[in-house]
Amino acid sequence: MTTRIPSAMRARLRQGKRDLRLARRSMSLPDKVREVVELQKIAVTTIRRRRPLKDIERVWTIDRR
Amino acid sequence: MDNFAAAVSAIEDLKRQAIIEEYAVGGAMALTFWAEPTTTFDLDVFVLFRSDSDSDLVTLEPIYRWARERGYQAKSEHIIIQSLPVQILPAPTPLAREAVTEAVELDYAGQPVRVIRPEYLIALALDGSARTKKRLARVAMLLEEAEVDHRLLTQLLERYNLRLPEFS
Repeated sequence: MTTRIPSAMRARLRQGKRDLRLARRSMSLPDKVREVVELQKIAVTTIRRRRPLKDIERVWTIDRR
Repeated sequence: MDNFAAAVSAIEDLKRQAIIEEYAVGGAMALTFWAEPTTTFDLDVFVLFRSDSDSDLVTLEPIYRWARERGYQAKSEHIIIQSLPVQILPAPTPLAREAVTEAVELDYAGQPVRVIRPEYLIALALDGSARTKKRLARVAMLLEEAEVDHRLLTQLLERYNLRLPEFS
């Protein structure tokens, strides 16, 4: 059985996705780097389930204390 | 200044010390700056050495010496600068050298950072052995999301005999 999505809803979902991508694209460079760090955290968790991490597969420490 | 800015500042120091002639950030971080954040664990930095060198043979020894003097640890092909693994790559081809020369300066919270332009990132991803599935995905991302100068891109593709893949 397939689920039919009304075209208006599909358009809204697409627009939402476009808006999200635009927002991510428009972030400041420091915010983008912080987002890369968040992606690293996710990647490290995922990779660790499959295999040992390589030397460079470490989450960056960006903020200085 | 955060550690990313500090790492870029350290790379700028390579230029101030005349160890390199020029640098530009490439790879996934350049893609992140022009489009959306993407997963990467290292910072790729393409460098040009001074053209008055007597030899065509490139050695990274002056860079490693510079790193040692500043207490930056070398791990395999990376130098760890302010906790960031930085891969310093001599620009290997005329296209890569041009990409470094034509890079643009962006502002990272007050720290200037030279970044390879999206048109050159696309051309580099299409060049020879670099043309992997991952890099073609980056091409698609740049074409869709970055502000690409299509006239410049067309010129580059023609001059370096490259072609865009068919994206369905």
